[in-house]
Amino acid sequence: MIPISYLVLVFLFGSVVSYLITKANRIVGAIFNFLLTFYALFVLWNLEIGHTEKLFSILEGVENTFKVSSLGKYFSIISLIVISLVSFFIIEWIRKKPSRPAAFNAFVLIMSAGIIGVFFSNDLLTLYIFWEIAVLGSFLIVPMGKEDSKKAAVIYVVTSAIGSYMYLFATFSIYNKYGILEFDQVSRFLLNEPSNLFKWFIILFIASAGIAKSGIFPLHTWLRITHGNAPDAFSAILSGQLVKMGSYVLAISLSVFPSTKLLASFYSGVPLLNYILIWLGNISIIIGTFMAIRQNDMKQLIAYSSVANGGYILVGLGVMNSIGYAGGLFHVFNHAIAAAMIFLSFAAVVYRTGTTKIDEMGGLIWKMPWTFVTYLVGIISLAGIPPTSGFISKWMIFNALLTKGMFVTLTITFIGSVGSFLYVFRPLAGVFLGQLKKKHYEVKEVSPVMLIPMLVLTLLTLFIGVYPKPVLDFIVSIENSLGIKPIEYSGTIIKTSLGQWDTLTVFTMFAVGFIIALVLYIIFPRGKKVELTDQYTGGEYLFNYDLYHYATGFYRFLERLYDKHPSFEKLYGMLVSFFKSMGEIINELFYKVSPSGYVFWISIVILILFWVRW
Amino acid sequence: MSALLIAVPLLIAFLFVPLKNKIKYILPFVALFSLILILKLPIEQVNFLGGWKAPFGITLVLDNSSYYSLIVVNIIFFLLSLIPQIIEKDLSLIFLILMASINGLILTGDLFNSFVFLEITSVAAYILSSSKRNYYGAFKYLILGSIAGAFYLLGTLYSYIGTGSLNLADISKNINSEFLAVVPILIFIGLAVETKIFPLAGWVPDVYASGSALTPAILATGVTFSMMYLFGRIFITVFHGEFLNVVYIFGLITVVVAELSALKQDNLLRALSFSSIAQAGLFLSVISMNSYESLTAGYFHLLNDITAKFVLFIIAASIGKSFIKNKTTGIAFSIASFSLIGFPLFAGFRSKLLILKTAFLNQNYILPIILLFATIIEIAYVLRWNIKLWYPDNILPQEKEKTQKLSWNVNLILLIVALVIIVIGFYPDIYLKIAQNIASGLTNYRAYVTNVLGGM
Amino acid sequence: MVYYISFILIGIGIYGFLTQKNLFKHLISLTIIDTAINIFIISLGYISGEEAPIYSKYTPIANFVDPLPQALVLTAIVIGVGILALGVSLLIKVYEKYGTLDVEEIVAKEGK
Repeated sequence: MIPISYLVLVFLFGSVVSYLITKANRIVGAIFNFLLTFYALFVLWNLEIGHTEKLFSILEGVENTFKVSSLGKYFSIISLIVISLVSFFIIEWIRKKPSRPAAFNAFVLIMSAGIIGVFFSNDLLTLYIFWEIAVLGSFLIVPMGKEDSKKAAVIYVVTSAIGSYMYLFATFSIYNKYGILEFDQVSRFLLNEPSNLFKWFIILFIASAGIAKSGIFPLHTWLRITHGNAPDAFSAILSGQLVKMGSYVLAISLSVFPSTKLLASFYSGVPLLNYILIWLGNISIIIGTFMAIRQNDMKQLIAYSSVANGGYILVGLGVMNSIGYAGGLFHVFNHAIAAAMIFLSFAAVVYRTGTTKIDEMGGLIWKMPWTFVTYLVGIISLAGIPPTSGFISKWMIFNALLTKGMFVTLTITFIGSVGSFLYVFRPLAGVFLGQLKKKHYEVKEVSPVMLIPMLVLTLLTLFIGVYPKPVLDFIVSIENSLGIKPIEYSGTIIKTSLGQWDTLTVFTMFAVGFIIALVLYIIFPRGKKVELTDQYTGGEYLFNYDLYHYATGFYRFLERLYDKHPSFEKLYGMLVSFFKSMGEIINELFYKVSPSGYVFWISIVILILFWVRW
Repeated sequence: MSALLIAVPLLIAFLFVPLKNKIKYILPFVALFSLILILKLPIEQVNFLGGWKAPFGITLVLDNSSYYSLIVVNIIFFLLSLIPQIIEKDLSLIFLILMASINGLILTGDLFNSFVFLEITSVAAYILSSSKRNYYGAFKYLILGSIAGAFYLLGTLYSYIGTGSLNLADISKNINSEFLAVVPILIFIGLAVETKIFPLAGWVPDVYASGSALTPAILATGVTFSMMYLFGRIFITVFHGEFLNVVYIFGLITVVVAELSALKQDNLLRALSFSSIAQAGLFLSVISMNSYESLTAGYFHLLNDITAKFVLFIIAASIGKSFIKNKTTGIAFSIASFSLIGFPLFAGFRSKLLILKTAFLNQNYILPIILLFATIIEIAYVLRWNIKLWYPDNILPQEKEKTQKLSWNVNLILLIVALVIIVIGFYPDIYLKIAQNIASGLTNYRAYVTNVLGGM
Repeated sequence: MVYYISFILIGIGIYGFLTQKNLFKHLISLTIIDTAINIFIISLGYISGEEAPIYSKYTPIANFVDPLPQALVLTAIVIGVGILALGVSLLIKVYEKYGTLDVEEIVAKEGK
């Protein structure tokens, strides 16, 4: 088994190899990428907890090391599952899509190197370094997408930088004060820290990197434009994986630095800081849900749903009791898989139809049934309906909120859940159901190479929904290592203080229901399929195809309620234009002036200096 | 011996006036000659011109800091001389004169001498900046630069009144508080124009963005470095860190203001020149913390910055609207801009860490905030330009045909420098050693005084 | 007394810069400032009643004015003349390019 540091190096150099191979033959390059990421998944799966590797030392007194923790291993395996399956998908997808396939493949590997490094870093600085490498790799891919993607890439990287620089500031504050950066030592020093302000500052600033990355309010605006415009298959990695890096940093700032022990309880065992973060999660859920309902672009719609789901994860992690924390971690897995499924099915649809606008499609279920199945299971999991795994995590989060008595948050999470039914239905009805458009008559199902990863993900989420033990085992070991009381479960039954949930029973019930429905479907005669124009309504024959497929303004009746909502995107836009006009003013006043202006400013400076000095 | 560094380029410049079309091909040899000469010179050597002893005669001082600064500057000249394409034919003479005057500026141990070299450097810079028919910009630079020169001269005069000497070491020994009230202000204004401090750096965008590749490539790297060296020499060695609190504030204002102005530029060269101003401001505010560590961090950052700017300016001036036909050039550009922003793996990251560390060590929390804020803005525009050049919007086919490939030697040198950026990102020791030597030479003013005045 | 003259001259130069729109007048203002500073330098070294620092058998040794400022001023004058010449030649080029020396007209033409 090769060490992690070598694995990272293999990825970094592999990117060059991948570039050259892809130059020669794109498909071979994509296969190379898939094999490498799959191999990495295999390596990471077999890592032992506690395995340590020395890397380098940049700052005095700080050895930068890799250390395998349960938390990091959990996140890294989820990430590599997503990345390797998406890489498999890309083998076919790359034939048509990105404008620069060689660079695309190379950057995917650079990004993956960064990601692996992030999850195994044992100190704040190593994490930062690999974090930036991952950002660099992913930032370079984004502009290969649609028209707006160039703007999107800049927004993405700037938002990410806001978070990571706050993180860096906190890192150096810690280094300056304690002279160490390792996570366990930092948490030990923080426990002995008398100043509450400093603890607040550290946790908040470190969490802000996670807030920016996982699209939590107020730094959520980049998700829509970036996920919506990135190359289609890459959106699956962005939403399924990169956003989870943010959740990882949030988990570190809340649990590795034990926030409940560091700060006094504010409301039923939850410190005020966690409470504020939970509220940020709440706002994200509301914004994500309601904005997702409005979107007509299917990728942007799911991007907003990522905002909401990031909120769920933060709420779960923020509660910090055994069931809530477990729910948050479980939701990381669920959302990663579900988002990957949904974006991959969208990528398949776009691969065939060439559009992401919901109202330009319809009835694709007849042409792309397996893609439809993937999407369906994906949204079922996303909306948290049993028997998929998505239900379990939401159930756990609800449970935790109920035990803590946080009823407002509970209400909001319920609203978010109901809202998610609404928004995931929109692409379902608009893209897959309804009337097939004439221009899509020739559309075919995508090839097996694309279907396999989609169906693997489908089976995975169904399997974990029935038998969640593998994930729960991980979560128990994480909670054990962090000193949180582990959740109780036996076999397929999860127990909480409020009751228990047996996934197998539920699955059996659903399976029985499904079989009954299937039997009924087979027994009863089929409906007759007719052409849209082969009928009449109101005594008139139909000539127009588009009128009778209901996809435009799908939720108009709901949207009308909050048409004039305040928008943070606009606010940030205003901020940017404010900075720009400030720059313009400065430019006009100081840099573009004639010699008279220069002399004027020299005189002013002299006067100021003499005034200050005398 | 060290006088040869000034004399040889000047002499060759005069000798070759009749053959000024051929002189291009001699530049590499002259640059190589001075580089070898420097490497052969012993450190800690003081050259008394005409045999007059220190406070009375003119001295050329070669200590740790001037030695390494000379190496840096001459390497830049050597690299530039290997790219004769960007040197317009009449400018080769100016190139040599600039080389001589900058060597002199770094070597001199005399305040008035430094004024003379400063003026020669400025005159050469005015002429350089008038290339590509940028006469108005050059004239503006001339006005600003000459006024600043006048103030520098006044400062020199006042220090002569105050201490009775023009020798830097002698001034350093004899400074008193009365004299310190006026002279630093005058010298500061004199140097502010060249070191690009905020309200006095109006010339920079016009000159750097003239479209010529040589002008910014030399002014933003070699000339800036020597000016920064002179700044450190005067304010730290001679004035013992007096007045630096004002410099600190001006530096920070420069950073913010320049980055904001860069945001809206629709010309790549202009945007880069604002970035250059901002980095200069950052450097000044870092060294104004006045400790060995902060000086090391500052000069290390300056080295990284000029390395990146060298690549960026040459490419920005010679590339058309996209990297379509010049992929290797594009890669060098991207590497340099990532280093400028401070992404890990690249050299800029190391200096960012070092600056943050020293700032925190000095209990200075404002500088890191400003630095990080400025970097966010810098990320926005530098990466926007990267994307714009890599993924150009609807380039017409005839335009695509019009963009010509850069020749191999330009690409090779740019790639080598880009490679240096990556190597420094992993092993910063080479640059760090230069920065540490410069810093130790500048901060240790007792050694400087005894070195020049001879144990008095 | 001479100090005041030089300060007044510097003031005139700055006034010229601030009020004039013609680039050539800017150059003249620059020269005025230069001259003012040169006068100032000379005045620093002057001790009233002393002799010019020329060593010969007619002059006793001790009664010279300070010779150093005069040496400096010579250099400064030379540099000033060089810059003036360069400035004028740049202005000729500016005039060839824009057809005017008025700042506002040049800016208007640059904008096009």
